[in-house]
Amino acid sequence: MNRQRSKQSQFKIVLLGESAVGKSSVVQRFVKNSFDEYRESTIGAAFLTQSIHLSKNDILSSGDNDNSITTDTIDDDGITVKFEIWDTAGQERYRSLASMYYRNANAAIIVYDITQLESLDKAKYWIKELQRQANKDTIIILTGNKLDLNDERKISIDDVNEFTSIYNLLNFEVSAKTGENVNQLFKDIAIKLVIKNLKSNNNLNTTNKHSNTINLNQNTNNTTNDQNCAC
Amino acid sequence: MSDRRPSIVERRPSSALSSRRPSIIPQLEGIEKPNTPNLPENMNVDVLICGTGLINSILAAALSWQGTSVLHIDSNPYYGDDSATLTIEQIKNWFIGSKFNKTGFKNYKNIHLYINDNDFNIVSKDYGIDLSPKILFPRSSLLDLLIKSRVYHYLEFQSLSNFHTFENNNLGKLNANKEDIFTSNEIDLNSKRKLMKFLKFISSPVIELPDNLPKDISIQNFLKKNFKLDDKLINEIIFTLGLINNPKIQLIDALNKIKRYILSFNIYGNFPTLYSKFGGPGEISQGFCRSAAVAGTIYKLNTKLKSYDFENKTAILNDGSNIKINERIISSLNQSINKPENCKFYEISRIIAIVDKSCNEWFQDGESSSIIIFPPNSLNSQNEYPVQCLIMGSETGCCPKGRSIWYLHTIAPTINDIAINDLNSALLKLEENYIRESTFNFNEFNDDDLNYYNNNKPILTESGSMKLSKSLLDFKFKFSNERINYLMKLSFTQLTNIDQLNPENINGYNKEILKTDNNIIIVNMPSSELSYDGIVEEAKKIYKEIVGDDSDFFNVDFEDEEEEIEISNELDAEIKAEVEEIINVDNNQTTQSNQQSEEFEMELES
Ligand SMILES: Nc1nc2c(ncn2[C@@H]2O[C@H](COP(=O)(O)OP(=O)(O)OP(=O)(O)O)[C@@H](O)[C@H]2O)c(=O)[nH]1
Ligand SMILES: [Mg+2]
Repeated sequence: MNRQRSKQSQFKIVLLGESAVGKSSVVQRFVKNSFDEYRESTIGAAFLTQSIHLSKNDILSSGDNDNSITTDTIDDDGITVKFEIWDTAGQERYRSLASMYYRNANAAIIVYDITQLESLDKAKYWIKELQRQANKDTIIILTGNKLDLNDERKISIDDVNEFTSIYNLLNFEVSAKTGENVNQLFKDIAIKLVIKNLKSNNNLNTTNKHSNTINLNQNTNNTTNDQNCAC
Repeated sequence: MSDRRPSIVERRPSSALSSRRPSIIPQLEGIEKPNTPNLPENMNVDVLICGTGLINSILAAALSWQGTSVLHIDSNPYYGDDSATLTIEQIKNWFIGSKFNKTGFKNYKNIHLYINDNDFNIVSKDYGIDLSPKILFPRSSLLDLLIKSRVYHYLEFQSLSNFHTFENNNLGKLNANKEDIFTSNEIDLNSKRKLMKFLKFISSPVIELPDNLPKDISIQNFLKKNFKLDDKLINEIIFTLGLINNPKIQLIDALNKIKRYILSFNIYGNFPTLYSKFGGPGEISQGFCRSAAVAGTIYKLNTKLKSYDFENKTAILNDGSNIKINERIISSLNQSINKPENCKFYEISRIIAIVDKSCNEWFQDGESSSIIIFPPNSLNSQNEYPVQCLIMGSETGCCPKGRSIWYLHTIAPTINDIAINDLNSALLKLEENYIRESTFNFNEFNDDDLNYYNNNKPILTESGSMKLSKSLLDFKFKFSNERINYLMKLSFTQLTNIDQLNPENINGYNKEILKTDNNIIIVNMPSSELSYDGIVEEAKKIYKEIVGDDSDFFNVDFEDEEEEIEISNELDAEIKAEVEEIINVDNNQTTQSNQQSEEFEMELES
């Protein structure tokens, strides 16, 4: 049970933000590299996984590396990061998000729409909420979407910069439609999380979160468990 | 209702060009305190579910995946209702709410709460306290449902191997896996034989009772007469492995309970049970609610039913909204506006304690929880009923390092303080035993401290004997000083409408459907059953009442099925190979030990 998956780290990422800012679209771009012009409001895609590979150089040359991570710390073939991505399922609409959603999230991507002024206010509300409820280690990334609609922009990056520097958050601008910056967003998150873990553990078995977790879909005799208990 | 509703997939607009559902989030009033938006006017749903306890949550998910439109509310600001997992702050609010709430049905009584916030700087959200904790048998209908519904994606499970029995002032551990019995030094060969004979009997696909059995023979007598087991083993088998609450249980029911433990080994590994990390039923409820939301259920916490006009099918909620109910309302009892007809109540008394000790001594290596059972008559209080305890350590995600949560419960009656005396007496024994075991630290010994000579007997080396004498000194010293401090202690009696002594309810649920006079379906309250047995059956029973048939209960063709498999296939081939290797090793190990035990059985027969 105690087997660690070496050279692989698994992280949980959650998305938050007002309806229609493009949360699901950003995930869809990252996971499937596609985009729907007429996407239904999410009742829920709910749960997706995607892996990303980081080369040794990606990590060493990152601005987050304060030289405490050296070339010996990392394997030559780099590190594979697996993301477990949780999209909102509509429970947030009436302020009924379950604690399970935030809990243990390694990163939270808070999305606003650069053409919708009030979507930024909503984003700020979610940041407050996360700071109150979630683990203090959760990395928060404020992300402006719909960069392709730059002509209709209502929110300037300077305003956002000012806000994020006060709260010490990351910020990004992306377009799920054109794909601009989307992979970079996830890659940066991956690098940040890997470096953070390397610093705290100094080994590659980053999350011990899964160390003694049993995978219910993988029973030892590989038979389906469909016979119910006789009692 | 005979017609099947279209499934969620069928109901989804086929044309991608259909106009987007408008955002229902109104303008923000300010970041500090945005208002909760109101439910849409003239809202119309098939089913309204009140209370987000486990059964209600499974129902919400099952119904909405089947195509029923569901509004799911809870009067609390959190999910889980009677089976919630709460932080310390929430426990305080729950305490005030349950003690002083004068409206609604009171399903808790004798509530006492002690919190030591002065000595311990308690960070409320570091704790996840279950109002009715449960453990999961790998061979059970809930586990099957978790996989089928894919709700297991949202959860993490860990193994729980250690089942201790309190006997003669000591905690003993019975190894009921064939392989373990073999290697155990605690059981003599003769008992091993008898035990193996019993295990063989109980693991056969159909339990066949001997013909000449006296009518109404008790499980105790059956084990004594037919297998010549001694009293100690009998207690361990019935109360610890069987997790049986009722000493007067009928023979066949008892055998089935014991069987579920035995059959659960080697499904996921060499352990009999699992628990969900970060909290039990409260966590699993949240998982099903999320699944329900994915299928379209609308959620609104902090909201309760105020009145229901059955004739006109309209419900009024405390937020002022007016909901048209096409079919039914389902409610937990404590969130219902009135009581069902002819409903009797039974008691479960509980103590939940958070202590300043890790309790690692009670856990198997690599694990963080254990079960401790006090069989009938093992306590100073001369307990008629067993006291069941679940110990949760910090790796379960339910408390910080160096602390643990102790859950104790019994179905002993509350008259003359019988139940609370039993619980307190068990708590005292836990304290005493913990201190005795923890101060004598065997873990400090390592290979250097021991020498093995050709007869394989370990002999202490010099460093070893020094450690031993130091340990003994510490032991004497610590014994007088060491004590267990309580950060929190909560005791209460919870009511259930399931008669836990009635053989018909042996699986933790009953067959009737409870209804109020205005036709609201009332879900059974949690029973004392420590496993999740009966939960799915209860949900199916109500599902059937509403849909007319339970054949399509969670019969879902998940849209994204292939995609997800594809993605996981992309995962490093290397890792896959690694996992396969591990599985192979496991399989080999199991076959090996099976062989071993078969050999033993043959020896028995010859
Ligand atoms: N022009 C443009 N449109 C986008 C972009 N991203 C998303 N959209 C569109 O914005 C709408 C909303 O996108 P979704 O991804 O469904 O938004 P969401 O945040 O998941 O919304 P909810 O699920 O309701 O919370 C859709 O019509 C998308 O096609 C983008 O980068 N540029
Ligand atoms: Mg969405």
